[in-house]
Amino acid sequence: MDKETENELLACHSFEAGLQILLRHTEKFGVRDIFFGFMATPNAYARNAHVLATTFSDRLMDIYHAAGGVNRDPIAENLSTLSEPMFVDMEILIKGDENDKFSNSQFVHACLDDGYTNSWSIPFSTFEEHGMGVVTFFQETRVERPVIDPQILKQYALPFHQIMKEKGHLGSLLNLSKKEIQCLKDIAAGFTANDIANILDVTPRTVEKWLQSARKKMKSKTSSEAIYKATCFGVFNNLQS
Amino acid sequence: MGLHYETSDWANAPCMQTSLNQLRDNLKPSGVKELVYGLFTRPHSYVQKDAIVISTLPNELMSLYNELGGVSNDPIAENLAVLSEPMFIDLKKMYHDKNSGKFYKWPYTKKMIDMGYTSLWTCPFSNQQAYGFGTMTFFQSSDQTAPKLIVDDLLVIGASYHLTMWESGKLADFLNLTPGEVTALTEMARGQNAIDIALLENVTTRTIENRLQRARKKLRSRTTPEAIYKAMAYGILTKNNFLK
Repeated sequence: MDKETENELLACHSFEAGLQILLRHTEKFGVRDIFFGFMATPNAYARNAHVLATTFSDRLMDIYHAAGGVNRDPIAENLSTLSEPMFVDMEILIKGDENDKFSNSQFVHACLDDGYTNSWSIPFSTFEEHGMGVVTFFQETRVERPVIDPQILKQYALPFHQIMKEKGHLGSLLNLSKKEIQCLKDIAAGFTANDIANILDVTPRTVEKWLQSARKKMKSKTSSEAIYKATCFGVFNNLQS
Repeated sequence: MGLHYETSDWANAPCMQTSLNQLRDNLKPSGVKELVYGLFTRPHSYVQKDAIVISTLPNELMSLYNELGGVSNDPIAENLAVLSEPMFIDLKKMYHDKNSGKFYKWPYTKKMIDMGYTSLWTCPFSNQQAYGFGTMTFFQSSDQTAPKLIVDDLLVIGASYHLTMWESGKLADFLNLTPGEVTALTEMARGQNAIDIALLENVTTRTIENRLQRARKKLRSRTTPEAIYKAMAYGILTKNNFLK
């Protein structure tokens, strides 16, 4: 990633703004829109425990969700095992086998109507990073554009994820409130709900409620799972002090 | 680089202590006499006694240190939580300075000066992947011919020692969890409970609870969520655990 993009990303204030910066700096390589997806454990998308962010228009995203969302997304299905960039030619995908659940998707039709023809999905999971995710760069080829080189995009995907995580923007996609984050942080430090209630001078039931709503937002069955996910998403980063 | 060291030497050593000894031997010609490595998962780890400390200091020094109150009576430990820049301490100056509070005429400093140490540099590092942070302290000797230490080099060495230990799993080995304990933690992090894990592993629920209890003890954690957080910070729970 070039220094200019990095500096702009470090200075931005939200995940959405980060995506717009990434789009602006990769347009010259032929990128027209970006789709970001991340989850903490393999196949988490199947129980909706993933986050998505995109530069697509709301209209297109409505179609995406109506057409089955991640459950009919070939990238989500492969994400757990994806280690190399994956190319999707939408014209081929749409004409694919009738029995294939990805063929004939309303979303792919809408993309083709809007002029998108193919996409490169760059997985950015490394051994050190917990969780798994992907940045998909969409291209249109009706207009004269350079052919996307996935090796160039590789240099953008992982640093983008790392900066967003470090800055706490990835965590903010979970929509946790400040109190919920503080409770999770105290739980990670070994306190119980009773301890936290004493510190904050509220009833233990209130703390339990906050934790429950945090677990719900993170699609976690237990607090242990919530702590694992919070660490994967970098939730504690904007409350480091 | 003003300092000469061979990463491969200490990266291939069998454990963290050997690695640290080898790193110290590598750095000896450059004027570093001893090393102390410390890792924390939260700002007040040193009070909670859950900091990981590994040092090359001789035993007589360490036993005096522990006699005098150990880490809870250490001028450096107190500052670690807020340390973002390297810190330099001149031992003689600290010993004779009436303003250094409880460290004025501290017997431990006296002992260090007697043994030939003059000053130290404490260099912070942070672990970006999981949220542990720590310091590497470099002790310098009074040898007049020893070259002056360049603090930028020390920062790089401290951080790369930590990263190497983390990535190679030596830090995880240091905490000595059994495969059964790691599996139990992994499944807990996945949202399972002891009963689910017992069915999965074909053992009794009580066995899983025992494993979790031992894992919490080894990680000096009061609760399982805390143990999971620490296991991530120490590189015990890595992504590979979840791909199995």
